[in-house]
Amino acid sequence: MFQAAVARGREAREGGGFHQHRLAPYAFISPFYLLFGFFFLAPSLIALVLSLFRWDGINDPRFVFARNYGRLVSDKVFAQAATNTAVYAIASLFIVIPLALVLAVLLNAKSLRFSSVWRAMYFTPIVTSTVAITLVFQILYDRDVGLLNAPLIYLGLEPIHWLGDRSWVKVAIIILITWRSTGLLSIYFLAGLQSIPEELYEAASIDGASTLQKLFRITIPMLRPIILFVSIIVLLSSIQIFDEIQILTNGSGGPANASMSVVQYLYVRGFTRLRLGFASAVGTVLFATVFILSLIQLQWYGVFRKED
Amino acid sequence: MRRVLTTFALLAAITLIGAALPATAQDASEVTLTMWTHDGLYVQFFSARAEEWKERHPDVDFTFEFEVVPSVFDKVLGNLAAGEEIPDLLGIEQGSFPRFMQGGIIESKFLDLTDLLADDYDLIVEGRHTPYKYQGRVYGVDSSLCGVVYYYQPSIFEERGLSVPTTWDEYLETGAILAEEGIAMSYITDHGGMFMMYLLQRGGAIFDEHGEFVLPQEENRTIAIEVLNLLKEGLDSGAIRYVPSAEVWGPAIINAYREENLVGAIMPDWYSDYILKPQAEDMSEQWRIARMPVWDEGTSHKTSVWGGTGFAVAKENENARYAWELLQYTYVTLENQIKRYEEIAYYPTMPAAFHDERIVGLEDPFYANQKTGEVFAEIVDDVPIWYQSLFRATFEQQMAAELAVFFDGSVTAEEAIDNVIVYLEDEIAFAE
Repeated sequence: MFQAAVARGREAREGGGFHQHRLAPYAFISPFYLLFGFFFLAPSLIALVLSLFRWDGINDPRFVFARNYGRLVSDKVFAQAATNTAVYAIASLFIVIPLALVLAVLLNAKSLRFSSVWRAMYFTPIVTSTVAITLVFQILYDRDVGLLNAPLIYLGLEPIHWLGDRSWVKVAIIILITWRSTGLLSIYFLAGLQSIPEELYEAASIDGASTLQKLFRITIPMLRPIILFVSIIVLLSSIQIFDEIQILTNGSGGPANASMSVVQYLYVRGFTRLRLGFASAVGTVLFATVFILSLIQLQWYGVFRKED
Repeated sequence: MRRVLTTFALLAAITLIGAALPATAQDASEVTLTMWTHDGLYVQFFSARAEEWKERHPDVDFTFEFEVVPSVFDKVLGNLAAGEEIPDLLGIEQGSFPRFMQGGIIESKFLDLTDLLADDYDLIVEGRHTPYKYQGRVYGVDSSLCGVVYYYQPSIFEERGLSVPTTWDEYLETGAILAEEGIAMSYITDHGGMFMMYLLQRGGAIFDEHGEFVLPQEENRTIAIEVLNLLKEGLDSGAIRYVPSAEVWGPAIINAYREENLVGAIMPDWYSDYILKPQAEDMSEQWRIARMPVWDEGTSHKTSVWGGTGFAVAKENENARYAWELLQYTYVTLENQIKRYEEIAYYPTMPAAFHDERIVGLEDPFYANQKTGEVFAEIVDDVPIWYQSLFRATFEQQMAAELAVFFDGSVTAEEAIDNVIVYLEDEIAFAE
């Protein structure tokens, strides 16, 4: 009986079990791909097809070919939303990332006391509800009773219309993005900083390198993968910004649409005006933009470069 | 083991049979009516009326599930898209009505009330039917008159020997005097609906009864420009204050009232109990209501309208008949229109109700016992009529954008209106 079992086992390994053996890894990773296919790939493809139709979500869709894209290109509100979104993305890349890096360097200082407390504090904006944060900022930005205007009013100066002025409303949103994102990004940078071997700095010190030289010759090159990761994360999140603007401007998109983002534009067209085909076209363009920008970033950081 | 399985099978069978039999017997006498709305006051009022109304059907055991549902219109449209059930009664805020006009949803999923209203149709002012009309048929019964008046603090005028202005010219003159002390008469924001309020009073129109875009017609375009210029004149002199739309309903305005650098607001009837009283409770007795100023030429209406919620009946629900009966009892009877004012302070849409002492004789302590109903009695017969369109939301959003640049002087009134016209025409052409 035992010998029969051994023979069956050998048969399984050498014969029919061969395919099972080869398929097993795929079976193990299949849950991810099934979920990815079901919740991302399929909806994305459906959205792509839907972008060629006019559909209110209830009645039958009507094929309009590229008409949705044509309107998108000629719509000045979309152009404005795209410009606003580009401003948020640029501000995030050039304000939030350097600020996060500086904070990380400070947090990494050996002389810093209570470093765990500081790190935890920087993490709090991420674990706090966006709605709660935005409502608090709405009060902070209030023209008459807001904290930000209090010093101006105290000094007898004209208070700023943070949410009512076409220029200031963008600044208000960038401040909110900066406050919300910098802490988390600095934690990423901190992890990168702590992985840089101390010997590199010691060797540089022996060679007489200054602090700035160490920063630009050691720290930043060694942080390259983290910078790439962080910049892609920042770019993606700033291009998809919605909640903060929607709540901060009561869904209006700010004065003269001055703060409207592309996702807010998509939301209004899709869910307020029930133009789901048109909204799908916006989503498709947004996806293509994010995809291309991410590829450019990866190329720029040399991810596709072949090692010699 | 077999005995245990047999016992379970028997129990299951008995339970199934037991559940099925009474259900068949009770279906005829047990009815659950559902209602969704965004405003708790409607739940309160409908619940009270439903308890009275059900006495008309002693053979039916009613259960009422009336509730405030967040993002109610998104949810209903989502349910319709998914083929799920929607409530028997739905309060559709007039600003969201065009969403239900898309693809004729309102016609296919909700009861046409025109014939059901029958003779009662004429009891309600026409201007409160039109916001819920689709292709000439009525699909909702409104909850309030939404007539616009001037809410003001009399002490500010009295201390300076000024009287409450009755025309726009007087308004600007009085405003200019107060502006020297940094006091504004009222405020305006970059909100398309607020602009429409002023435009309607002047006799202008955005869409006609067929949903056609009529703002480009010379008469309407001229009126729109005239209204914008009036508002700009007020802004420039300081008589009218610009407030960002994000701050309009919040504490900034109430604080300005308290500090007496803002006299009041030109707002619809719902502003009183929905905004002013809850936020400025401490200012009780410091307020009065007057008619909104009129245009000198006498060509304008005595009032305007803004807002409203029309209740519609789901057509495909099995209790549609009961839902309509309840709606008719609650909103289309004179007695209950008066009760609605008494209980939740929403003014009647029936002019006849303004002959009743319970409306015109009621003294409101917040307004130092002013009989505020008398002011509304003067305007009820002159509520402007306006029409819905699929492009209403597009108009309001584009108008809001143009208002912002007009108010800061970047464009002229003509440019602002023409920009809106061009944009709307493009959108309409795209939708065809």
